[in-house]
Amino acid sequence: MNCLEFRRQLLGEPASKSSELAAHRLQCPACSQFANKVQAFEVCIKEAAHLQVPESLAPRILLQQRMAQRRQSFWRRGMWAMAATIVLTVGLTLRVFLTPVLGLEASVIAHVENELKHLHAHDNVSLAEVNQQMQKYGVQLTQAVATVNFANPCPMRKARGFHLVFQGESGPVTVLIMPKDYIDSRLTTADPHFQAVILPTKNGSMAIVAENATDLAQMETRLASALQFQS
Amino acid sequence: MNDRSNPNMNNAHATFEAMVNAYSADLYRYAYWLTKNSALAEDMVQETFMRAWKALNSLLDHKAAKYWLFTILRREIARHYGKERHDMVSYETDAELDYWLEVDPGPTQVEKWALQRAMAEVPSEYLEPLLLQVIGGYSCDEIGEMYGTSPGAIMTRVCRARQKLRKVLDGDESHSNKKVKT
Repeated sequence: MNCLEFRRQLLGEPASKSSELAAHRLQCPACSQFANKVQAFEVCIKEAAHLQVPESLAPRILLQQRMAQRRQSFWRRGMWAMAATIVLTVGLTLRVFLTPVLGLEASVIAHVENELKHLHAHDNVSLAEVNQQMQKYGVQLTQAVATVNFANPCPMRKARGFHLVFQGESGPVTVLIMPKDYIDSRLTTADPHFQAVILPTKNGSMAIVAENATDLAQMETRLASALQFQS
Repeated sequence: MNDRSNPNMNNAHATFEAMVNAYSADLYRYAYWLTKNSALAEDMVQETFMRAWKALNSLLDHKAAKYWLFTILRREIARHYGKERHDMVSYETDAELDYWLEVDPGPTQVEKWALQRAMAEVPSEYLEPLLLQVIGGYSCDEIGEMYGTSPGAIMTRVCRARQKLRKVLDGDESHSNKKVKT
Protein backbone atom coordinates (compact mmCIF):
# COMPACT_ATOMS: atom_id res chain seq x y z
CA MET A 1 0.00 0.00 0.00
CA ASN A 2 1.41 3.37 -0.97
CA CYS A 3 0.89 6.68 0.81
CA LEU A 4 -1.78 7.97 -1.56
CA GLU A 5 -3.84 4.84 -1.15
CA PHE A 6 -3.38 4.92 2.61
CA ARG A 7 -4.61 8.49 2.85
CA ARG A 8 -7.55 7.94 0.55
CA GLN A 9 -8.67 4.96 2.56
CA LEU A 10 -8.13 6.68 5.86
CA LEU A 11 -10.11 9.73 4.82
CA GLY A 12 -12.80 7.46 3.47
CA GLU A 13 -13.03 5.45 6.66
CA PRO A 14 -10.99 6.80 9.59
CA ALA A 15 -12.37 4.10 11.90
CA SER A 16 -11.20 1.31 9.58
CA LYS A 17 -9.50 -1.61 11.32
CA SER A 18 -7.74 -2.66 8.13
CA SER A 19 -4.48 -4.44 8.87
CA GLU A 20 -2.98 -2.96 5.71
CA LEU A 21 -3.67 0.55 6.98
CA ALA A 22 -2.24 -0.29 10.37
CA ALA A 23 0.90 -1.74 8.81
CA HIS A 24 1.49 1.27 6.57
CA ARG A 25 0.90 3.66 9.45
CA LEU A 26 3.59 1.94 11.47
CA GLN A 27 6.20 2.15 8.77
CA CYS A 28 5.44 5.65 7.40
CA PRO A 29 5.89 8.57 9.84
CA ALA A 30 4.29 11.07 7.44
CA CYS A 31 1.20 8.93 7.03
CA SER A 32 1.10 8.31 10.76
CA GLN A 33 1.04 12.08 11.28
CA PHE A 34 -1.63 12.35 8.61
CA ALA A 35 -3.69 9.70 10.38
CA ASN A 36 -3.40 11.45 13.72
CA LYS A 37 -4.74 14.65 12.23
CA VAL A 38 -7.56 12.96 10.36
CA GLN A 39 -8.63 11.01 13.42
CA ALA A 40 -8.45 14.08 15.64
CA PHE A 41 -10.57 15.91 13.13
CA GLU A 42 -12.98 12.99 13.10
CA VAL A 43 -13.59 13.50 16.80
CA CYS A 44 -14.43 17.13 16.07
CA ILE A 45 -16.83 16.17 13.29
CA LYS A 46 -18.60 13.73 15.58
CA GLU A 47 -18.94 16.35 18.28
CA ALA A 48 -20.23 18.89 15.81
CA ALA A 49 -22.71 16.46 14.30
CA HIS A 50 -23.98 15.49 17.74
CA LEU A 51 -26.76 18.07 17.91
CA GLN A 52 -29.12 18.43 20.78
CA VAL A 53 -32.30 16.60 19.90
CA PRO A 54 -35.71 18.08 20.81
CA GLU A 55 -36.82 16.35 24.00
CA SER A 56 -40.32 15.95 22.70
CA LEU A 57 -39.26 13.98 19.61
CA ALA A 58 -39.44 10.43 20.98
CA PRO A 59 -42.67 10.98 22.97
CA ARG A 60 -44.26 12.57 19.90
CA ILE A 61 -43.33 9.62 17.71
CA LEU A 62 -44.75 7.17 20.24
CA LEU A 63 -47.93 9.22 20.59
CA GLN A 64 -48.34 9.41 16.83
CA GLN A 65 -47.89 5.66 16.57
CA ARG A 66 -50.53 5.01 19.25
CA MET A 67 -52.97 7.32 17.53
CA ALA A 68 -52.29 5.67 14.20
CA GLN A 69 -52.89 2.30 15.79
CA ARG A 70 -56.14 3.47 17.32
CA ARG A 71 -57.28 4.70 13.91
CA GLN A 72 -56.18 1.39 12.41
CA SER A 73 -58.13 -0.57 15.07
CA PHE A 74 -61.16 1.63 14.56
CA TRP A 75 -61.11 1.04 10.83
CA ARG A 76 -60.41 -2.64 11.31
CA ARG A 77 -63.42 -2.92 13.64
CA GLY A 78 -65.43 -0.77 11.25
CA MET A 79 -64.52 -2.97 8.33
CA TRP A 80 -65.49 -6.09 10.27
CA ALA A 81 -68.82 -4.51 11.16
CA MET A 82 -69.35 -3.51 7.54
CA ALA A 83 -68.39 -6.97 6.31
CA ALA A 84 -70.76 -8.57 8.84
CA THR A 85 -73.57 -6.27 7.72
CA ILE A 86 -72.97 -7.12 4.08
CA VAL A 87 -72.90 -10.85 4.81
CA LEU A 88 -76.08 -10.57 6.87
CA THR A 89 -77.84 -8.52 4.21
CA VAL A 90 -76.79 -10.85 1.42
CA GLY A 91 -77.73 -13.85 3.53
CA LEU A 92 -81.19 -12.51 4.30
CA THR A 93 -81.73 -11.45 0.70
CA LEU A 94 -80.70 -14.87 -0.57
CA ARG A 95 -82.91 -16.49 2.01
CA VAL A 96 -85.86 -14.47 0.83
CA PHE A 97 -85.16 -15.19 -2.82
CA LEU A 98 -83.96 -18.75 -2.58
CA THR A 99 -86.36 -20.16 -0.03
CA PRO A 100 -88.78 -22.26 -2.03
CA VAL A 101 -92.35 -21.13 -1.70
CA LEU A 102 -94.10 -24.04 -0.09
CA GLY A 103 -97.55 -25.13 -1.13
CA LEU A 104 -100.29 -24.59 1.41
CA GLU A 105 -100.41 -28.26 2.46
CA ALA A 106 -96.67 -28.49 2.99
CA SER A 107 -96.55 -25.12 4.67
CA VAL A 108 -98.96 -25.99 7.46
CA ILE A 109 -97.02 -29.07 8.53
CA ALA A 110 -93.74 -27.16 8.13
CA HIS A 111 -95.15 -24.42 10.34
CA VAL A 112 -95.88 -26.89 13.12
CA GLU A 113 -92.54 -28.63 12.75
CA ASN A 114 -90.70 -25.31 12.84
CA GLU A 115 -92.45 -24.36 16.05
CA LEU A 116 -92.48 -27.67 17.89
CA LYS A 117 -91.95 -25.94 21.21
CA HIS A 118 -95.55 -24.69 21.12
CA LEU A 119 -96.78 -28.30 21.14
CA HIS A 120 -95.34 -28.63 24.63
CA ALA A 121 -96.77 -25.35 25.96
CA HIS A 122 -99.19 -25.53 28.89
CA ASP A 123 -100.43 -21.97 29.06
CA ASN A 124 -104.02 -23.04 29.75
CA VAL A 125 -105.42 -19.95 28.07
CA SER A 126 -109.03 -19.11 28.96
CA LEU A 127 -111.74 -18.97 26.30
CA ALA A 128 -112.27 -15.26 26.93
CA GLU A 129 -108.59 -14.56 26.48
CA VAL A 130 -108.45 -16.61 23.29
CA ASN A 131 -111.42 -14.78 21.87
CA GLN A 132 -110.03 -11.41 22.83
CA GLN A 133 -106.81 -12.15 20.94
CA MET A 134 -108.55 -13.72 17.94
CA GLN A 135 -111.05 -10.89 17.54
CA LYS A 136 -108.57 -8.97 15.45
CA TYR A 137 -108.47 -11.88 12.98
CA GLY A 138 -112.23 -12.17 12.67
CA VAL A 139 -112.54 -15.49 14.53
CA GLN A 140 -114.40 -16.42 17.69
CA LEU A 141 -114.84 -19.66 19.66
CA THR A 142 -118.44 -19.91 20.81
CA GLN A 143 -117.63 -22.67 23.29
CA ALA A 144 -114.65 -24.43 24.77
CA VAL A 145 -113.59 -27.38 22.63
CA ALA A 146 -110.54 -28.42 24.63
CA THR A 147 -107.89 -26.97 26.89
CA VAL A 148 -105.99 -24.26 25.05
CA ASN A 149 -102.27 -24.77 25.74
CA PHE A 150 -101.04 -22.00 23.43
CA ALA A 151 -102.65 -19.04 21.68
CA ASN A 152 -100.74 -16.36 19.90
CA PRO A 153 -100.75 -14.29 16.70
CA CYS A 154 -98.31 -15.74 14.18
CA PRO A 155 -97.13 -14.88 10.64
CA MET A 156 -98.73 -17.16 8.07
CA ARG A 157 -98.10 -17.55 4.35
CA LYS A 158 -100.19 -14.63 3.14
CA ALA A 159 -100.84 -12.56 6.23
CA ARG A 160 -100.52 -12.47 9.96
CA GLY A 161 -102.82 -15.09 11.47
CA PHE A 162 -103.36 -17.00 14.66
CA HIS A 163 -101.70 -20.08 16.13
CA LEU A 164 -103.57 -22.25 18.63
CA VAL A 165 -102.59 -25.50 20.30
CA PHE A 166 -105.36 -27.55 21.93
CA GLN A 167 -104.98 -30.52 24.18
CA GLY A 168 -106.38 -33.43 22.14
CA GLU A 169 -107.35 -36.85 23.46
CA SER A 170 -103.95 -38.36 22.84
CA GLY A 171 -101.74 -35.38 22.02
CA PRO A 172 -101.54 -31.73 21.06
CA VAL A 173 -103.58 -30.48 18.14
CA THR A 174 -102.56 -27.33 16.30
CA VAL A 175 -104.99 -24.95 14.64
CA LEU A 176 -103.68 -22.30 12.27
CA ILE A 177 -105.96 -19.45 11.26
CA MET A 178 -104.63 -18.28 7.88
CA PRO A 179 -106.22 -15.04 6.62
CA LYS A 180 -106.15 -14.34 2.89
CA ASP A 181 -104.92 -17.84 2.03
CA TYR A 182 -108.05 -18.87 0.18
CA ILE A 183 -108.82 -22.40 -0.97
CA ASP A 184 -111.80 -23.79 -2.83
CA SER A 185 -112.33 -26.95 -0.84
CA ARG A 186 -111.14 -29.12 2.01
CA LEU A 187 -107.55 -30.39 1.65
CA THR A 188 -105.70 -33.09 3.53
CA THR A 189 -102.00 -33.75 3.88
CA ALA A 190 -99.64 -35.75 6.04
CA ASP A 191 -96.01 -36.50 6.73
CA PRO A 192 -94.50 -39.31 8.87
CA HIS A 193 -95.28 -37.36 12.06
CA PHE A 194 -98.34 -35.24 11.41
CA GLN A 195 -101.64 -35.34 9.62
CA ALA A 196 -103.46 -32.18 8.59
CA VAL A 197 -106.69 -30.98 7.20
CA ILE A 198 -107.16 -27.54 5.65
CA LEU A 199 -110.57 -25.99 5.52
CA PRO A 200 -111.83 -22.94 3.64
CA THR A 201 -113.09 -20.08 5.82
CA LYS A 202 -114.75 -16.74 5.12
CA ASN A 203 -111.52 -14.77 5.15
CA GLY A 204 -109.02 -17.42 4.07
CA SER A 205 -108.42 -20.89 5.44
CA MET A 206 -107.77 -22.82 8.60
CA ALA A 207 -105.49 -25.80 9.20
CA ILE A 208 -105.81 -28.48 11.86
CA VAL A 209 -102.67 -30.51 12.46
CA ALA A 210 -102.53 -33.51 14.75
CA GLU A 211 -100.28 -36.47 15.38
CA ASN A 212 -103.02 -38.98 14.65
CA ALA A 213 -106.22 -39.27 12.66
CA THR A 214 -108.47 -39.65 15.72
CA ASP A 215 -107.42 -36.38 17.31
CA LEU A 216 -107.60 -34.71 13.93
CA ALA A 217 -111.12 -35.87 13.18
CA GLN A 218 -112.36 -35.09 16.69
CA MET A 219 -110.99 -31.54 16.58
CA GLU A 220 -112.38 -30.94 13.10
CA THR A 221 -115.84 -31.92 14.27
CA ARG A 222 -115.69 -29.83 17.43
CA LEU A 223 -114.35 -26.75 15.71
CA ALA A 224 -116.94 -26.99 12.95
CA SER A 225 -119.64 -26.07 15.43
CA ALA A 226 -117.62 -23.88 17.81
CA LEU A 227 -115.67 -21.61 15.48
CA GLN A 228 -117.32 -18.57 13.92
CA PHE A 229 -115.63 -16.55 11.21
CA GLN A 230 -116.60 -12.97 10.46
CA SER A 231 -115.96 -11.73 6.97
CA MET B 1 -59.39 -9.09 19.77
CA ASN B 2 -58.28 -6.24 21.94
CA ASP B 3 -54.83 -5.15 20.81
CA ARG B 4 -53.69 -4.79 24.40
CA SER B 5 -54.38 -8.42 25.13
CA ASN B 6 -52.57 -9.58 22.02
CA PRO B 7 -49.06 -10.78 22.93
CA ASN B 8 -47.79 -10.21 19.37
CA MET B 9 -49.08 -6.65 19.51
CA ASN B 10 -47.44 -6.13 22.89
CA ASN B 11 -44.14 -7.39 21.47
CA ALA B 12 -44.50 -5.08 18.51
CA HIS B 13 -45.12 -2.14 20.85
CA ALA B 14 -42.08 -3.00 22.92
CA THR B 15 -39.89 -3.37 19.83
CA PHE B 16 -41.13 -0.13 18.38
CA GLU B 17 -40.64 1.82 21.59
CA ALA B 18 -37.14 0.44 21.97
CA MET B 19 -36.35 1.47 18.40
CA VAL B 20 -37.65 4.99 18.98
CA ASN B 21 -35.68 5.40 22.18
CA ALA B 22 -32.50 4.00 20.71
CA TYR B 23 -32.42 5.57 17.27
CA SER B 24 -34.67 8.62 17.00
CA ALA B 25 -31.93 11.00 18.16
CA ASP B 26 -29.36 9.85 15.59
CA LEU B 27 -32.00 9.80 12.87
CA TYR B 28 -32.97 13.35 13.77
CA ARG B 29 -29.35 14.51 13.61
CA TYR B 30 -28.92 12.87 10.23
CA ALA B 31 -32.13 14.45 8.94
CA TYR B 32 -31.26 17.82 10.40
CA TRP B 33 -27.88 18.04 8.70
CA LEU B 34 -29.41 17.14 5.37
CA THR B 35 -32.44 19.41 5.62
CA LYS B 36 -30.91 22.19 7.77
CA ASN B 37 -34.39 22.55 9.21
CA SER B 38 -35.31 21.31 12.66
CA ALA B 39 -39.07 21.08 12.10
CA LEU B 40 -38.64 19.32 8.77
CA ALA B 41 -36.11 16.93 10.31
CA GLU B 42 -38.59 16.06 13.04
CA ASP B 43 -41.32 15.46 10.48
CA MET B 44 -39.01 13.23 8.45
CA VAL B 45 -38.09 11.18 11.49
CA GLN B 46 -41.71 10.85 12.55
CA GLU B 47 -42.69 9.76 9.07
CA THR B 48 -39.82 7.29 9.07
CA PHE B 49 -41.04 5.70 12.27
CA MET B 50 -44.63 5.60 11.03
CA ARG B 51 -43.48 3.76 7.94
CA ALA B 52 -41.42 1.47 10.14
CA TRP B 53 -44.42 0.75 12.39
CA LYS B 54 -46.60 -0.17 9.43
CA ALA B 55 -43.93 -2.50 8.09
CA LEU B 56 -42.64 -3.80 11.41
CA ASN B 57 -43.62 -7.36 10.49
CA SER B 58 -41.17 -7.24 7.61
CA LEU B 59 -38.29 -6.56 9.99
CA LEU B 60 -37.06 -10.10 10.50
CA ASP B 61 -33.84 -9.28 12.34
CA HIS B 62 -34.22 -6.65 15.02
CA LYS B 63 -30.49 -6.14 15.06
CA ALA B 64 -30.86 -4.66 11.60
CA ALA B 65 -33.42 -2.11 12.81
CA LYS B 66 -31.05 0.83 12.83
CA TYR B 67 -29.83 0.21 9.29
CA TRP B 68 -33.43 -0.29 8.19
CA LEU B 69 -34.52 3.00 9.77
CA PHE B 70 -31.66 4.93 8.22
CA THR B 71 -32.58 3.45 4.85
CA ILE B 72 -36.21 4.51 5.26
CA LEU B 73 -35.20 8.00 6.37
CA ARG B 74 -32.76 8.38 3.53
CA ARG B 75 -35.51 7.52 1.05
CA GLU B 76 -37.88 9.84 2.85
CA ILE B 77 -35.48 12.74 2.46
CA ALA B 78 -34.80 11.86 -1.17
CA ARG B 79 -38.55 11.73 -1.77
CA HIS B 80 -38.94 15.12 -0.15
CA TYR B 81 -36.37 16.67 -2.41
CA GLY B 82 -37.80 14.86 -5.38
CA LYS B 83 -34.76 12.99 -6.52
CA GLU B 84 -31.90 10.77 -5.56
CA ARG B 85 -28.51 12.27 -5.78
CA HIS B 86 -25.94 10.23 -7.62
CA ASP B 87 -23.31 12.79 -8.37
CA MET B 88 -20.09 10.98 -8.77
CA VAL B 89 -16.90 12.43 -7.45
CA SER B 90 -13.37 11.58 -8.32
CA TYR B 91 -10.44 10.52 -6.25
CA GLU B 92 -8.36 13.02 -4.45
CA THR B 93 -4.92 13.80 -5.67
CA ASP B 94 -1.69 13.75 -3.77
CA ALA B 95 -1.70 17.52 -3.58
CA GLU B 96 -5.16 17.72 -2.10
CA LEU B 97 -4.46 15.03 0.46
CA ASP B 98 -1.23 16.74 1.46
CA TYR B 99 -3.33 19.63 2.63
CA TRP B 100 -3.98 17.68 5.83
CA LEU B 101 -0.32 17.87 6.66
CA GLU B 102 -0.27 21.61 6.19
CA VAL B 103 -3.03 22.35 8.66
CA ASP B 104 -2.93 21.94 12.36
CA PRO B 105 -6.50 21.41 13.35
CA GLY B 106 -5.81 20.54 16.98
CA PRO B 107 -9.19 19.40 18.22
CA THR B 108 -9.18 21.91 21.03
CA GLN B 109 -8.76 24.76 18.59
CA VAL B 110 -11.66 23.79 16.44
CA GLU B 111 -14.74 25.57 17.52
CA LYS B 112 -17.69 23.30 17.35
CA TRP B 113 -19.97 25.96 15.98
CA ALA B 114 -17.50 26.73 13.20
CA LEU B 115 -17.43 23.12 12.17
CA GLN B 116 -21.20 23.00 12.27
CA ARG B 117 -21.31 25.99 9.98
CA ALA B 118 -18.87 24.22 7.72
CA MET B 119 -21.06 21.12 7.70
CA ALA B 120 -23.98 23.25 6.64
CA GLU B 121 -22.00 24.36 3.62
CA VAL B 122 -20.95 20.91 2.42
CA PRO B 123 -23.15 19.73 -0.45
CA SER B 124 -25.49 16.97 0.64
CA GLU B 125 -24.19 14.43 -1.85
CA TYR B 126 -20.94 14.48 0.09
CA LEU B 127 -22.37 15.11 3.52
CA GLU B 128 -24.98 12.36 3.40
CA PRO B 129 -22.64 9.36 3.33
CA LEU B 130 -20.36 11.10 5.80
CA LEU B 131 -23.23 11.45 8.25
CA LEU B 132 -24.11 7.79 7.81
CA GLN B 133 -20.55 7.04 8.89
CA VAL B 134 -20.24 9.58 11.66
CA ILE B 135 -23.75 9.35 13.11
CA GLY B 136 -24.86 5.93 11.92
CA GLY B 137 -21.49 4.27 12.42
CA TYR B 138 -21.67 2.49 9.08
CA SER B 139 -18.76 1.36 6.97
CA CYS B 140 -18.36 2.28 3.31
CA ASP B 141 -19.47 -1.26 2.44
CA GLU B 142 -22.73 -0.84 4.35
CA ILE B 143 -23.41 2.61 2.97
CA GLY B 144 -22.66 1.35 -0.52
CA GLU B 145 -25.26 -1.36 0.01
CA MET B 146 -27.76 1.25 1.16
CA TYR B 147 -27.10 3.40 -1.91
CA GLY B 148 -26.90 0.46 -4.26
CA THR B 149 -23.43 1.52 -5.31
CA SER B 150 -19.87 0.35 -4.79
CA PRO B 151 -18.01 0.89 -1.51
CA GLY B 152 -15.31 2.62 -3.55
CA ALA B 153 -17.75 5.26 -4.75
CA ILE B 154 -18.89 5.87 -1.18
CA MET B 155 -15.31 6.08 0.02
CA THR B 156 -14.67 8.73 -2.59
CA ARG B 157 -17.63 10.77 -1.43
CA VAL B 158 -16.87 10.65 2.26
CA CYS B 159 -13.23 11.36 1.53
CA ARG B 160 -14.30 14.39 -0.45
CA ALA B 161 -16.71 15.41 2.32
CA ARG B 162 -13.94 15.46 4.89
CA GLN B 163 -11.73 17.40 2.56
CA LYS B 164 -14.43 19.96 2.00
CA LEU B 165 -15.20 20.25 5.67
CA ARG B 166 -11.61 20.74 6.51
CA LYS B 167 -11.18 23.38 3.89
CA VAL B 168 -14.45 25.21 4.49
CA LEU B 169 -13.52 25.32 8.11
CA ASP B 170 -10.14 26.74 7.31
CA GLY B 171 -11.63 29.21 4.84
CA ASP B 172 -9.71 27.68 1.97
CA GLU B 173 -12.17 26.43 -0.56
CA SER B 174 -9.62 26.82 -3.32
CA HIS B 175 -8.08 23.45 -2.43
CA SER B 176 -11.30 21.61 -2.92
CA ASN B 177 -11.83 23.18 -6.30
CA LYS B 178 -8.61 21.83 -7.71
CA LYS B 179 -9.04 19.75 -10.78
CA VAL B 180 -8.48 16.07 -10.43
CA LYS B 181 -5.57 14.34 -12.07
CA THR B 182 -6.64 11.39 -14.11
